[in-house]
Amino acid sequence: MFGHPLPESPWGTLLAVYFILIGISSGITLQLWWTRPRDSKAADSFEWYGGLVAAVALGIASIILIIDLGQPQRFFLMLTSFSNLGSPMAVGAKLLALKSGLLALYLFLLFKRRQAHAAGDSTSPVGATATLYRVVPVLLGISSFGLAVYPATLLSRTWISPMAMSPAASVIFLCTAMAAGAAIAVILAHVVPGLADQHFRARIVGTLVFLVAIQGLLFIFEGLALHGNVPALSSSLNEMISGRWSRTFWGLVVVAGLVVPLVTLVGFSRHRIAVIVGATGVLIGTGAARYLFFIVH
Amino acid sequence: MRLGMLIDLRTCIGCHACSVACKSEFDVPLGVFRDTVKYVEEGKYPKAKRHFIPVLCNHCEDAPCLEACPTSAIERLEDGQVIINKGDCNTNKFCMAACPYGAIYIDPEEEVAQKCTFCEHRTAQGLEPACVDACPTKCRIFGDLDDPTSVIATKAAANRTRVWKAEAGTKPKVLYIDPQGALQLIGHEGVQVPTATRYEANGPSVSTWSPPTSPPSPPAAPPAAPASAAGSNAPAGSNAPAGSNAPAGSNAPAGSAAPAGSGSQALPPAGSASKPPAAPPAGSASPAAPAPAVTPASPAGSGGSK
Repeated sequence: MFGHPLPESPWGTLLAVYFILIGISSGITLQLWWTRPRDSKAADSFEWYGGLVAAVALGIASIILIIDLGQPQRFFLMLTSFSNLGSPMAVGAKLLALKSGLLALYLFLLFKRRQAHAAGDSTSPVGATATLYRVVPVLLGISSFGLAVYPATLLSRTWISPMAMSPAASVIFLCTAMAAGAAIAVILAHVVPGLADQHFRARIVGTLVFLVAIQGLLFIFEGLALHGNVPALSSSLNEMISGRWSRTFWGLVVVAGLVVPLVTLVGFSRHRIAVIVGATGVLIGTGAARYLFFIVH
Repeated sequence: MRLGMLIDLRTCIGCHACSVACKSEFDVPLGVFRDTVKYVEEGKYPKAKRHFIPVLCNHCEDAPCLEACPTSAIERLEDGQVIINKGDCNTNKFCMAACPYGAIYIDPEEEVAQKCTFCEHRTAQGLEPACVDACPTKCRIFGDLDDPTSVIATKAAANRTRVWKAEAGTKPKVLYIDPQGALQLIGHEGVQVPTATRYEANGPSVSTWSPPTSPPSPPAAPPAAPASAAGSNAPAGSNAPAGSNAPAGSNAPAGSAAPAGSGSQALPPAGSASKPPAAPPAGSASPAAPAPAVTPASPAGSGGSK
């Protein structure tokens, strides 16, 4: 919006990877909340594996964030300083820490429940434990929602990502995160043996197709909104669709992320390999979309 | 109290004394700047002009860096100066990404974000910032913008002032007397200069002027400004207009139009001001004084690398 006041962007590819991983972690957590198998044992297994993927993505993202700091030993200042809650980065860091704690607690609860089921104990928890089983997933969902959209807020306060200032940026960040989460869920359901029955697989593939279609519509409306908008936004759009980043956009976001998944997930939904290819395409496409929102200036 | 700076572009001669004083005061490493001077050329022969625009942190009243910093390492002092507390900076660089002026850099030796502090350590002792002290033409005035009797407030009231990138809405406290609208020519730039790129592209840019080996061929049409071979920085044998590196405001052809997309106020004809300009301080150079031979003509933003 205000030109390019520094010779190079102060944030590099590591931060872009961080935003992608944050999206995957948030998306899979929201997906576990949204779609789960009806059978309670299968649901526990699905949540367990999904939770592990979310934890790994969150862990790697946190490590990347700390490594990217010039003074990593001072990372804790972002968590302990409460005097500038007007900074999206300060809020995001605290949300990241909150979600990490909640996810660890959630995985612990799932582990205990799976252990109990394995031992043949089918009694429901009571008291404080029961409350934890109810409250933790809700808090986890809320913090994941926040982490899915916070990159848009963060980037909108900078000159390096003009497109983050566009009206649909938060929705696109949310939708790409959820689509990435659904893609992970589809892959898990088709790769981990005994995790899902045919009915649940069809349901989760349907969810992914829905999200990919929504994403495609969002890209179209975003393009229409940016076209002819203020010069910084329309020039970013041009950079993306016909400039330096056009190959990434058309190749990874559109073809790999939208066209291939729609063809494979709709046309070959009973073919395991085709579905996995489609879901992988969605992962690539959503990652590329988040990267482009971050990098295109 | 609201400390600020007023820079009179009519009297800046682009000597970089301010940049050097700042570098010296803070041991600013090579390749980064707290304060520098942009050289911008405008127009074509025979109506070419060169502007000298000192740039630094604007100590904005709505400072985006201050709002962005997640560790509260950036704070505003009671007198309005925006400073960075080194001990609280974890170099997340959000301040750099938020500042529309590119005024913040990472000190490669100390590994913390740094920027102009208005020489807070000097002003606390009643001294002026190093750049103000060093300026030979006194084109910089530092003081309290809220004190109507201060020199800065008086001069700001007597002249039409502008700020850099007003559209960013940051309410800068570095004001410019800029009758020729030069600030908008660096609207997309920042304080930092891509020095490495410049050296690779153009070779050493701090070359010295040497007299032509053969007399320069006469220009096709006589220039508006008095011809002076000594004032020209053109290469030997070229027919670039004499005096093309004179201070901004001295060689503008009368009646030249301001560039499109200028600030909110209409610009007066080049070389004139809407209000009578204040007399330059005693001992300062007149706007019409010939400038010393400096670096060869270079693109915008390729100012000195001192």
